[in-house]
Amino acid sequence: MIMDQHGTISIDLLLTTFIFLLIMGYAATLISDRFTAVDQSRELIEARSLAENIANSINQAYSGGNGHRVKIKMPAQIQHNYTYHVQVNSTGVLVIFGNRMGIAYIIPKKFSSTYNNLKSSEISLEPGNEYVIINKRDENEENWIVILKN
Amino acid sequence: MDIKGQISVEFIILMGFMLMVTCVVAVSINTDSELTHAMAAARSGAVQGVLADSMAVYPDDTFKDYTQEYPRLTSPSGVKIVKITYTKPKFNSTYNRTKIQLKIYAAGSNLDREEQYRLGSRINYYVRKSICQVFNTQNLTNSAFNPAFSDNYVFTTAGVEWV
Repeated sequence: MIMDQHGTISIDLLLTTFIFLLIMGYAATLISDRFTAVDQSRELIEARSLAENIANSINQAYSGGNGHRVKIKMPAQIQHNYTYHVQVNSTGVLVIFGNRMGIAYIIPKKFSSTYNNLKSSEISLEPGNEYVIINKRDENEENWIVILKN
Repeated sequence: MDIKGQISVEFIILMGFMLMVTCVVAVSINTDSELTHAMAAARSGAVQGVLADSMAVYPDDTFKDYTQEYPRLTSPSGVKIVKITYTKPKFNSTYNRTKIQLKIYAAGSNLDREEQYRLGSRINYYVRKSICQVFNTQNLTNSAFNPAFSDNYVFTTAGVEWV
């Protein structure tokens, strides 16, 4: 019996409650820590995933040959609260969010932000925009990657 | 307890004995529970560290350093935790707590010793950070969370062993 008609409470219940509270005290902070860890992990995974997806699209356009086009849509945010920006140059696709950076390497080395007048440049991709990645061969038979806002 | 409000001597002795047992058990449970939670926090931190290593998304200073010195680390690497062990608890008078050294065993492919050292340091950092966060002791330690404190224990980390 938990509580009898005289208002007494069993020592078993007191002991059980005490131990339960003790364990819950630590468990609550541990659970909170786990949730924070999961959120931080999601940020890293989303950033890596974004960099690899863009790099994959660029490689796909490059390997597709002259005239190959690939469209990409940039997510508005990383993990619902981080704005970010992406830079594409001959080294790779660099994703920057908060104070963190990650890079995904790519095959092509020549990038241009204009289609008619090919000119080496570092290209910034902004959140929420749609871009088209085009493979264009110049008069020297070299393939360029042109990235235009759609 | 009878209807006249008297308590038997046997009951008082039983209650006293129960109280003593409860106190001893409570202290023991508290200490064991703390160690269990610290180890759970360590495991959680180790997983987070491995993920940070695997995703290769670093704070900007670290990223620039790795780009110059260890470009291999700027690409994702397959690191996984094999096991976490700890040394026998020993009282440390400096910290007035029981000291435990954690040792993490990890596996990763195609990494040289310098690269392993850097990835291992990150895993250890996240392990200590996680312990400090769970016990809310960030203010007792330094920015590298070394050592990490709980209420009755102080945790250090040995270099990660790569297997």
